[in-house]
Amino acid sequence: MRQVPEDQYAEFVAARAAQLYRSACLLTAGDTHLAEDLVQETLGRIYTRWHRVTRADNPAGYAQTVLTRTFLAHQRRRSSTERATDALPERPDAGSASDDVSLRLTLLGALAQLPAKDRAVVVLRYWEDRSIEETAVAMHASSAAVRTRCTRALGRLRELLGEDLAEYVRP
Amino acid sequence: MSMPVEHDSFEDRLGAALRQVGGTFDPDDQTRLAAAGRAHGRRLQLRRRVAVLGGAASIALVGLGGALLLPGGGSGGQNLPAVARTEAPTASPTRKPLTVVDAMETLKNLLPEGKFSNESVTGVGLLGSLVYDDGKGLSTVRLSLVQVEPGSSLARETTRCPDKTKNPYDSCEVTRLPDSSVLRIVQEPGDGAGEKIWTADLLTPDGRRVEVSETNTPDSWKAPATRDEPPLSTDQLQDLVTDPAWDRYFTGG
Repeated sequence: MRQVPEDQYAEFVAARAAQLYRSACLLTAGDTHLAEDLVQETLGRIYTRWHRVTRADNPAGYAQTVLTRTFLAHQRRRSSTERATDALPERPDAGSASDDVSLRLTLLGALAQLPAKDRAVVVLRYWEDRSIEETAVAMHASSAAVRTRCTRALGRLRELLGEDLAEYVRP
Repeated sequence: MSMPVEHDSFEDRLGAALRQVGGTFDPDDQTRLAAAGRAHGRRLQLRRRVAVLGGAASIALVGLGGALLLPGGGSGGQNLPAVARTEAPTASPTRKPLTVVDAMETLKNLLPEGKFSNESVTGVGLLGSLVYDDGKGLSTVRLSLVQVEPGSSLARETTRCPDKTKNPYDSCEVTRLPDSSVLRIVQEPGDGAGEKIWTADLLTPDGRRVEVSETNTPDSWKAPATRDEPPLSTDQLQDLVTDPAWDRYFTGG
């Protein structure tokens, strides 16, 4: 079993941990505790597969893929009761919060309404800017399945968010 | 309020919103998170070494205080660092550790007569899986054995049905058995065309969790359904997860 070069690993983690955490927060619809758990698990898995990380064309993308799969595996195991929805943020009244806070609550609330796999598709496609094909690889799914999920998720989000996005998103 | 931008598509706005919101999240203590990740990686690696030493299987389980040891690459939700607090094992040198090969053999012994193929102990969140042919169409049977903390979220999830709005299922039944174990049987659609996944999940009062799932496909991602329903009835699934043969995997045999 290969030895992990600790300095290389530490450097990689220092560079990527925050971004992984942000992705995890979106995947979990704002459950920061679960997001930390997922990142910790992801970093652990990366440690054990370090040689694959270093061989990857895009080590950062590899790490994001591990995170996505870790998230999906966790959801599969739990098969239901997401903590994110246990403490779904209340949507603020208009004018009671800044646009940033309103957007955060509105968007996370909408993401929480999506099934986990649909949420993963949204995060991979629109947060990480991956193609349908890349998303399919990351999720161990077919491109057709990703397209279907993506269409469904966008429809649901459009329904939930409506023009709110136009109100809050900074140009 | 900003003016709507006519040429802006919903997808563009969604991407911008995700970047705007995602950028607001920062770990409280990135150094601690990185250190915890590395420590978890070391534990996983140690377990992998133990697995390699313990037998031919890539996953070994050792009945030490009922702890199931999953090496890296085979971990799933049950192995998240927040809940997996298994320390490095100190196995008795006189006891041969039970391996996943033993567990899969037990599974095969408990299944009705049929042919087995594609046995695998890899995959996320699984202890093992195999393709099972009872003569009426190929199916996949998956097994997971794990010790959970009684009262933990992993224990509680077994005792209630999924949220149907997020995880649509065809049926779900939670039953308390005479020995106070809780049995949950869920029938749900899979991702593939016509795919069905039936799962029996048993949780004993002391936190032993035995989960067996079956599908009507030989591969949940690529292959179409080979039959209308998975091969085992829900009663057979119940018999499978409640069989005393699993006890030794939690007690060290």
